[in-house]
Amino acid sequence: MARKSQVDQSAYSSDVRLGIRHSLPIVMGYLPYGIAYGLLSKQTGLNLLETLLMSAFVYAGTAQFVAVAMLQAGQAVSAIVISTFVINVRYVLMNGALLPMLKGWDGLHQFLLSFYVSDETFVVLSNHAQHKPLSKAYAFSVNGTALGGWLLCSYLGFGVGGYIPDLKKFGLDFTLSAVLIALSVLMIKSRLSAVVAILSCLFSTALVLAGYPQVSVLSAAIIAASFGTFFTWYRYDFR
Amino acid sequence: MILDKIGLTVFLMAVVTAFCRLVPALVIRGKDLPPLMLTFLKFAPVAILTAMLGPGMLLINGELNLSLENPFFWISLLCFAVMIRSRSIPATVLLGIALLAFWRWFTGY
Repeated sequence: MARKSQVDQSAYSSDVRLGIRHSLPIVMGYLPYGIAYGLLSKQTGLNLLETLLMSAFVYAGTAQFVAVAMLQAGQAVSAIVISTFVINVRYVLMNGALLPMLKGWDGLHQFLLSFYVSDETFVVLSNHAQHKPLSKAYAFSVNGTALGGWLLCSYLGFGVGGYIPDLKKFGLDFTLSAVLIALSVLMIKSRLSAVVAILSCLFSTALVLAGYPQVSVLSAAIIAASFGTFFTWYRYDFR
Repeated sequence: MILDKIGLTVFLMAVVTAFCRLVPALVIRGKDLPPLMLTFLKFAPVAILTAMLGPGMLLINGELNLSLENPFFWISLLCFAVMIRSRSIPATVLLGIALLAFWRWFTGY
């Protein structure tokens, strides 16, 4: 009995460490955005508490940027809230895709994890789930590290943003793209999933070009994934 | 009023975002999904990834740009090639960052 709990303990801590390691690149990618957000937020007249509360409870980079910019432009609260909804409605799809990977979890933990899924942690979690079932230790460690990093970067931006050199010079704004490239390659397992990936990339670009940047990710992913589903259904062995 | 405009904005943003994030856990929790839905959700992750990637890679200032003036496009292609060959996430990420830093230094943009 004592033996077993020791084994559990070490599996637990190694999962926590692995989660931290997998989410550190994310935190690195947050740096330029978090700092820019903190800085913009300060310029707009939010105080430190409001800046950090938004990072802690909205926790969605794009929506936070848009909201702060809209506040600066003096737009109505309702307009800001609707924009937030339109930008973040993609999480319905993301968390919907994540949920089957949390088999065996109780409702409370599924609930808690869902609350702190970001684009980036979604990417890390769904990739890890491809070869191993998600343990709670790992998943919460990934989400917790990313949240901590996002708060820290927002804080840095608010406090010292003006004195930090332009991080773009060091290419750090490419971090998220590079992580997306790496993980999408790992997720492409069949010719059909490659087709879905390319279609989604082109659709979302087309939607931005057509003037619908806020719904580009959601709509493109739905169209491309539906295409993949249709083909799987139509011709089970499409390889 | 307890909340001023900024406080109200932050609060309502948190509510709608939490709603978006929690709907799946509240609605499909514990239920077996139909196979067609599961297939759809299996394709969703990779589709979301590349949908997030596309515009930043192919557009510059809101316009399609696949010329040499768009470093994101060329560096992304290179990163894809390196990732497919090496299967190494750190190598791909560091290469992408280094190339962009180099491009910026070289061109002065």
